Amino acid sequence: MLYYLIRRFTSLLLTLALSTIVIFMVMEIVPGDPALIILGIGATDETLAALREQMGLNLPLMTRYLQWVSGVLVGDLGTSYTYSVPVSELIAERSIVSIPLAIIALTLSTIIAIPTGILAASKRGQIADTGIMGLTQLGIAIPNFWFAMLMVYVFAVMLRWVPAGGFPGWDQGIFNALKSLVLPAVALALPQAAILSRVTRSALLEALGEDYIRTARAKGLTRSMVLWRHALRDALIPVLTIMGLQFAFLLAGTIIIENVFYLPGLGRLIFQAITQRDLIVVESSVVLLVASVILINFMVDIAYALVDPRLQSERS
Amino acid sequence: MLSIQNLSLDIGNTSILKDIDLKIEQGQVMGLVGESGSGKSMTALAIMQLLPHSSTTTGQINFDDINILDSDENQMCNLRGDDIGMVFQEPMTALNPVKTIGEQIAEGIRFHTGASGKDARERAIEILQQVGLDPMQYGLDRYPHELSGGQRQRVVIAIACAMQPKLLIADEPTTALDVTIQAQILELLQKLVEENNMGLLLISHDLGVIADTADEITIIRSGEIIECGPTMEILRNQSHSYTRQLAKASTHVPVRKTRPVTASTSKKRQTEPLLQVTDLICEYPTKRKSLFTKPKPFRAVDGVTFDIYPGQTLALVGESGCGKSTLAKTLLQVHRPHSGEIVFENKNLLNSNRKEMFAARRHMQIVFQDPYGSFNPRHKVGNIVSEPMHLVNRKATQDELIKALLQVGLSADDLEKYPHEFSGGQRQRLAIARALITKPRLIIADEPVSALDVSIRAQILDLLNELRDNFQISYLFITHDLSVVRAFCDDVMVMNSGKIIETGSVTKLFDNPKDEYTRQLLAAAPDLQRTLGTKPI
Repeated sequence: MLYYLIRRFTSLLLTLALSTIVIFMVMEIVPGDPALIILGIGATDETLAALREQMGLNLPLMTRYLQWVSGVLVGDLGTSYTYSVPVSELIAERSIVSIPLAIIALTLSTIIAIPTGILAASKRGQIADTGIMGLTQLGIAIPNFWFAMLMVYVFAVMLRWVPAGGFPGWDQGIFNALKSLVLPAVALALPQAAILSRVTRSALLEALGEDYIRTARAKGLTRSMVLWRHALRDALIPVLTIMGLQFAFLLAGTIIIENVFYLPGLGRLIFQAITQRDLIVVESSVVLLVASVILINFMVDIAYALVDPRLQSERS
Repeated sequence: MLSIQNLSLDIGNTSILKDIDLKIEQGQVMGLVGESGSGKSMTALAIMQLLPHSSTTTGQINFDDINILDSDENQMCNLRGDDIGMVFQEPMTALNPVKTIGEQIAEGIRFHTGASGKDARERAIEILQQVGLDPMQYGLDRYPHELSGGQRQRVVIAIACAMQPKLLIADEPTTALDVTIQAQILELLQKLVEENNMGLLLISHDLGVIADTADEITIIRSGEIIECGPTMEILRNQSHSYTRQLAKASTHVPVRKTRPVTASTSKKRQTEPLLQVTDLICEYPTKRKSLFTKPKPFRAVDGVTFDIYPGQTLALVGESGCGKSTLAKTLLQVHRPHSGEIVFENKNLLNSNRKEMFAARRHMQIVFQDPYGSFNPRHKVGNIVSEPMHLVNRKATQDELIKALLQVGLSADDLEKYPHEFSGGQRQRLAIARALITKPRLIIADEPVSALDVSIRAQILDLLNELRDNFQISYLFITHDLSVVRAFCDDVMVMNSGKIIETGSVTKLFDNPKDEYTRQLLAAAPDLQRTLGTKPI
């Protein structure tokens, strides 16, 4: 087990190091001069040159990379060109919206998906299965921004249970803050739940077709005991994989929903930074996102090993 | 104890079993023999009521005084694993990989007796001992992947016998195992029958295994019972034509028109060897165990030296994992060896360039074991058979393709068909046609008849024999089946852990084995004729 963890952790560090290089290089290659963007087209050459000098844009590539990386390592992400505030502050401000939102959405999606997936698999070919699979088709097909708008109309405009958008901040009371996150979380969770439910069902069905299920049945176990005790644990591996991917997506890939609900999340921060050539914000937030995705994968890897003892033994 | 009357089974609209009658008493071993698709396994699953959906059964299955076909799912759950246990063919997949063997054995005990976890574990330890796994060495906390195939089969048997069932059903329990392990498992099953006075339904395609083990035999073909009765009587009298056919096929010896070509006769005639292998060593890298020492590679083939002469059929026998297939792949240049020499038609293959290698490969072809997995299902036969022609840098002409198909007993119409339209035996003919298209001088046959039923096996051996007679082809015949070696090969090499431990002509080596390992191998192999000759009725 220890060996497996060390190996996974080493590959985590390597991936992280490599990704910083790739992100830095890509930002160098994309056209657009940050200094020019800050000062506008009317700026004189002298002021431009002075600003470049001040921002350190004239230093050699390697030096700038090392400066940036060493800053990131100690938590100094630099200062935003456009907002003139430390990037770490910006990201922290947005994370307190995005991270709870992602966690709520993932929890919701898991709570919906796993039971429905199990139900569909255990009633394979029956009405429950056909019904659930039909609904998941719908869940995948319907664009979530459209569904979000529909929910805003019903729950915010007609019933007035929740606000239609915006985020009051956590200092306005946890309940109020959560209220404004409910609709976005549901909108985000539904398509994810639909996918996860289908994955759960097919993984379970595959596991139920294995030889060892027949052995377990020959022991005398009932169908449902076999499903809960033998098939489910085996089916968890693909389910965990998808959950890991979904959480990573929910952290930053939620820009459309953030826009529908006027939420100050990470997605919108990155989007604005890109349009304004605020390179330092883009770089730093992308690195943080990459790091969190890699970290999530690492946790999924640990979960694999807990589920499947074959991964723990050093030989495999 | 178990009595089946007029059992018929349909799946969808296909009739699988017709009017099956079968009786098993306590302490009795009933052998159920048939070729693939004959309905052996379905009979077993019908007793367990674990049939696939959409199957309908009629007739009667009575176990003691329980009518199985009328029992509901709850009653069956109480019966399964308690009074009736079942062992399956494939020990590698029959155990749940994410649960310890202790959990898996104890699970059934707890379900049927309501015993506490601790009691069930104690009982599990006893059973492990009974099936010959020392609990000190193979404790309850082991996972299946830490055990070998034979050990896993013992665990499966332990699960099936945990409640000391009155009836044990074993569906091809040894087919996936090596002969020495097969002998051990059969011995274990017999021991359990005696100790627990249990009935055993032993399902097999191998008459030799059944003759060794079963008191009574039932022969089944296409879902119908052909013959049943005391094993020795049925197999000695062979009064039914199908029984005769099965027995004949399993001891079939192809009639050779040319004289056998052994290494010693070839040396006497001073023939040049076709293939010379000298000191061949193949290694696989292994997992790093420590950060500081380099991992020691695993030596799959360890200093192998042999020659094959034109027209000679050389058998390579050994248990799984002994390096047979690695050796074959290395000869075909799929693997690079670590060191050694491979000289084919006087050319050293290991330092030849691509062009020379192509020329060599043209004269060296392979036939694989699995006739289902070795074709691209979306290619037509014409395409499949002409594939090796890239070695001679041109396309096969229509005439050549037809000739190759005719040589293996297929017809010209088959060119436009897809592999799934053929049966297993026909597919193996296709594989041979594909090997023949470049007019090879050496065919490496890796278990070419192991996946086939006995009657098909006899036909394929006849075909290979005919080709050897007509074209003077040499074979390197890799197999674990010693009866095939005896029937078909001139010389034999015995391989164990990467080394050739004994070589000689088949008759000499089989009659008078020098090495201890060879002796064990020969003793463990089931041999129908030997059994019929020695066992009293």
